[in-house]
Amino acid sequence: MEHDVGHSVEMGYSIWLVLFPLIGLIVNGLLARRWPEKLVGWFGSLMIVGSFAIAVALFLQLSGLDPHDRVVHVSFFNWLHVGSLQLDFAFLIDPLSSVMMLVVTGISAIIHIYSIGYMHGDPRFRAFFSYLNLFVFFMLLLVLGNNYPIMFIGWEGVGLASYLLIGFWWEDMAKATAGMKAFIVNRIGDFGMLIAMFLMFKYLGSLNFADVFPRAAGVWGHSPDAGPVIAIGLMLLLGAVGKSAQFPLYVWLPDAMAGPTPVSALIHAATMVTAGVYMIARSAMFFTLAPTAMLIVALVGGFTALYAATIGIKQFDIKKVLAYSTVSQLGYMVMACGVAAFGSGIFHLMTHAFFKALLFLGSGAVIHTMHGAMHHVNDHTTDPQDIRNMGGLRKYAPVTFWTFLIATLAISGIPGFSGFFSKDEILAFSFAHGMQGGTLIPWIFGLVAAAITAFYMFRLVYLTFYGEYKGPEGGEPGLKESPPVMTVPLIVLAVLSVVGGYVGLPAVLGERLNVFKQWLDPVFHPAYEAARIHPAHPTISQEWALIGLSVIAALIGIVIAWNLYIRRGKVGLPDSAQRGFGRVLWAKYYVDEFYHAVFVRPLIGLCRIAWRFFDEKIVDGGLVHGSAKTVRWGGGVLRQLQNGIVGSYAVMLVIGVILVLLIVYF
Amino acid sequence: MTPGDYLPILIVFGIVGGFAYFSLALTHLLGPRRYAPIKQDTYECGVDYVGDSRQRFSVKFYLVAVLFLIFDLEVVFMYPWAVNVRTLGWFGFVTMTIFLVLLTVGLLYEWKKGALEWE
Amino acid sequence: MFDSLIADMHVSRLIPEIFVIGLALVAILVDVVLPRGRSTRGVQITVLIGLFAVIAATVLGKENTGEAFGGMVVVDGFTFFFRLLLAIITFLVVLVSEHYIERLNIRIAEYYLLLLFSLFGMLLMAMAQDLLIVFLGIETMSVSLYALVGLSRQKHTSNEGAIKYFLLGAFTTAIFVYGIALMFGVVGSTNINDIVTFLSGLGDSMPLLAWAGAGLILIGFGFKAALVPFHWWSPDAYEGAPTTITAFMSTAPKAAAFAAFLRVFYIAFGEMWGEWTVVLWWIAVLTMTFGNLLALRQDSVKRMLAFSSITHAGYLVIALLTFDRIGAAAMLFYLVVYALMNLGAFLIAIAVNRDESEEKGYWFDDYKGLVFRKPALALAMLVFMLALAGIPPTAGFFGKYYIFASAVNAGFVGLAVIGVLNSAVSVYYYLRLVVYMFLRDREAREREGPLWITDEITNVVFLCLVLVLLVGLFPDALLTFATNSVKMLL
Repeated sequence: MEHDVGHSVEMGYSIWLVLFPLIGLIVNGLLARRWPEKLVGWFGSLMIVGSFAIAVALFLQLSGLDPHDRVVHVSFFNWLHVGSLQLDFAFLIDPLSSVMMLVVTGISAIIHIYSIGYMHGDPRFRAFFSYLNLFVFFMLLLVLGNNYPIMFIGWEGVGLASYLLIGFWWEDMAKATAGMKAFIVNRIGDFGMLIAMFLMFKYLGSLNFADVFPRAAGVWGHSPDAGPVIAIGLMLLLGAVGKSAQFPLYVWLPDAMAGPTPVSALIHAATMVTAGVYMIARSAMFFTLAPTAMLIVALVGGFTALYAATIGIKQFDIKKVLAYSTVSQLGYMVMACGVAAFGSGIFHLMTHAFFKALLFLGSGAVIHTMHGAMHHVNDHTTDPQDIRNMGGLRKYAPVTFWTFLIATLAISGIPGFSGFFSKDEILAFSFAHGMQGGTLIPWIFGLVAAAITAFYMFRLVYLTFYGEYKGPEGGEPGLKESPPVMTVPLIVLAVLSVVGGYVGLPAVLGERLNVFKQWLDPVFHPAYEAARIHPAHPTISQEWALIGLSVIAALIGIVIAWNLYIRRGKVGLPDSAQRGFGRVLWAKYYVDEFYHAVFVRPLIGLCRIAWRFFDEKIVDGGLVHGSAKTVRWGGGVLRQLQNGIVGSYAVMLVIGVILVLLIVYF
Repeated sequence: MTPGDYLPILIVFGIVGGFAYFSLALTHLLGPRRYAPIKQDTYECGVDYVGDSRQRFSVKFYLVAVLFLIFDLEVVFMYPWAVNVRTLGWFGFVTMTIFLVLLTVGLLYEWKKGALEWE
Repeated sequence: MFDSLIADMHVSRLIPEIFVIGLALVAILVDVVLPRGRSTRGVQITVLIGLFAVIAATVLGKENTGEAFGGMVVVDGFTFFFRLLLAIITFLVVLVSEHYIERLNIRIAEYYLLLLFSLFGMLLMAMAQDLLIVFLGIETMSVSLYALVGLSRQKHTSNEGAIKYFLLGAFTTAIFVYGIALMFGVVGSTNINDIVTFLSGLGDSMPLLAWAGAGLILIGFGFKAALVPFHWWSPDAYEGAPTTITAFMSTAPKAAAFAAFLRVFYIAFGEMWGEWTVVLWWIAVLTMTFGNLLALRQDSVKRMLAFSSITHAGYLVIALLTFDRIGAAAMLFYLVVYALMNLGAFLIAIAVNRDESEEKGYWFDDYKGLVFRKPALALAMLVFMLALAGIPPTAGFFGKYYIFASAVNAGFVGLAVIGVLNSAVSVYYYLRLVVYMFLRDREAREREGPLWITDEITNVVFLCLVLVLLVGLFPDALLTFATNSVKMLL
């Protein structure tokens, strides 16, 4: 990467990208107390549309430049200048960040508008929109920052926004705990990020992207797989594993579905969870320089893709199915980075943002429709998110059905839809990477996962939209299509889910046609050059075969689903009737239980021991614990203090003294 | 100085301790013992006692004791100064003045807070 | 005859300290002169004006640096930093105290006087260049604090805390003095410059006595800074003390203890530093982990903050043991940040607590539904909790960031890892409070009483909030200040 800080291109207006959401946050959060709901919603959305417009302008300006000049650092002020740490508050605008900002602002704008309808009548409507704006603000900092600390601030900030939004309906303790779980699991990942930053600073003396990568190439370029660079790579991976919900830290994401559906769509599907993928792609240099770390990335990603897909087979909550599918698709993206196909990972990130946002918003519309039926018969016990209660909704909500189907075809990898192009590209590269001396395991994982994905997605569609209505009896008249403010975003996303893939046509149709790849490639070139590796390309015949294979895999999945749920008309067993391996899948491999037993319980136990022995017995022992002891206080204070309490303090103090002296002595 | 040089001191210690122990032991062994209630009294030949000494004293006693201590020490400091007042000159005078001002403010505080009143 | 002696004293360099003592005297007179009912208010105003003068004198005398009293104390950038920090914390605590001590029924002017005396002791600690002056400072500070902890005389917790603090404090004082005595035995002087000259002349043949002496001195500091395993007094003392005093104790004396710790160990015992890192490594790990484990299970916010302050002392030890300028600067930075966020959190705890006459109080349950009752206050508490947990964009993040970065930079990667993990665990109990603020069930509604918010609390909380966010966004200025302040030490 050239060292062209202070490029002459005028992009100072890019600050408005983050200023718009900030204004939205401040106005909606503090000033708009008396504004009507509509105004709050449209104002918040308008700010994001403004950001989107800026993003488009930046993109156009960037594409007008020579490909070699497409790295623009826009510095706004000196932020931290202490000792050797020289950081500006600055944006890095290059092809990678331009893709990210377009996706983030575009999807956010659509979901903001959708939320006006979805959150209608919520007593904390205003707070919801300020949190959403807060999220967009931090997300843009994350993708635009030109150094790791700014990225990290965005990284933590989106975590905070996600925490606030998951627990948005706080009244319920379960939802509040889901928020906390997400935050704390993410902290484990953040810890990796921090350590990686410390190591970078120690070995490379800077945290600016513009300095760190060339220096890393200089230091480790001739000795790949050096200890420090592997450590940095693995620590960064840990950060991505937390934020992008990879195995084994994915557990927070399914629980995060407790938040309102637009939040699931925006934060927990389209944007925030992909931050880990973006971060890996941005740090490509550290991974190409550490093949070992990269192999682990590929394995983690591939395994997650397969693993989460299998869980998706047996879930009955419509949002849980989509949640596991998100985990699985994120696995694909991480896997792509692990086979040095960073561009393909980002490509899949973009198409996934379209179709997964669409799926979530569609599921929101379905839940909305189900609520209609339940209201109609005054039913408050049926779970409106359980697909066993749905069925036949095709008739009542046609727009929702058709858009949902398009997204399903896209995620299943059916040719012609966006998901096909990106997923196929990932599989092709991982195959080629395997043939070039790597391992084929990720590719096999990915291929099997593709079949399973097609299966559980069509299972979802069949159970929800086909067959007979199975909800509360007599509720049919209440089933209605959602209002236009919700369906129009669905249609927009459906269009994107189809055409979004055509920017990256497979190489077999012509090398020049993959516009997306050409756009992104300059970003990753330095990383490839430093490690002297050439991303593997499959041959033409191989690629045709691979396309055929993945289409067949998808079709197998669809046919099995059709066979089970349409031809044989199965509807899914109740929870208690789950048996055998199906039950293991239904219980998500008991991982939550495992974590609880292995990490949470011992920690609580440790606390209890610490509490019992050091606090309750010794500290609290002399304290007033209810009335019985209070009575004894008058005369007993001194006796209690002398017989044990302060005495034991003193004894422990002396033990401490002896320990210190012993350590010194030896 | 080697530890050996301390030997005479050690011997003196031994003689002193030994003599004390020896004479006490001797009276204990030789002396006659006759117990009687009056003889066991706290004051064998004085007034009859009332209760025991483990009583709560009013905090005022302590207060007076502490105040006494402070002003007693003040005098202890002033004596050497008064003896050397000419040699110490202005420097000594200023130092002493600061010391006295601090104590005077303290005295004023005690007085106004009622620490000097018994009731 | 005494001209050279007087010239050597450089009294002008000690003007802020002289002001503090003079102020205490004036405050006593004000208390005595004014009638009973109005005296505390009068004393408070006197003290506030006086502290303002102290701060002004500190700033104006910034350039007047050098040794004073024949090398017993030294006024340098480091002293300047702590003078400002300590005086400002005391100022803020005095500012919010008047209504609070009225609420506690302890309206006595001695409250302010004791604060002033302890401030004087802390200032001595920050500038001391002689172990005896360190000792004098520690004792002046501690004796005042013993009394302050026990000020709510009707509460058993307060009495108990004070007695425990006093007994253990006296015990540790003996250990500390013993350490000084041993050091004197080896070196023949208690001046830290003499000590370092003597010890560095010894080379490898460091006598065991010197090790023992330094070890005992370390324990003395460890006690005052509440480091595990010398922290036993702190939970009880923190809980029993009036909450304003708890806020004060967990910030200012801790800062003073670390200031003296840093100066004495970096200069006097710098020769032996390699070995001390082993001891401090363990102390840091124990302190962080222990405080965290105990804070996890508390149901009283005051107690939770008390335990968490032990954890934070552990982070500070990490910065201390790096033994370089980056670490020392990180420590100073963190002390400021910690003072701001802790003060803010404690003040909000005061405002939310329902009933001060209760023995324990400060229940988590009282926070239920706070967001709906007083959104601004809840938001401020959220920021302080995030800051304490070390999450950007608050100042707490950069505080932790610099500390851990300095540790990695100095080669203590393992320690940094343990530290970061601990700060991840601490998120749990800080956010638990946040969750409570958002929950509101029927039972909570019934418990809701009026909040106890005074103008002073609002103002100081607002000030802390703004500073926590401002430093979080632009940490540059403070870090530069901290870095410049430690320049002359290393």
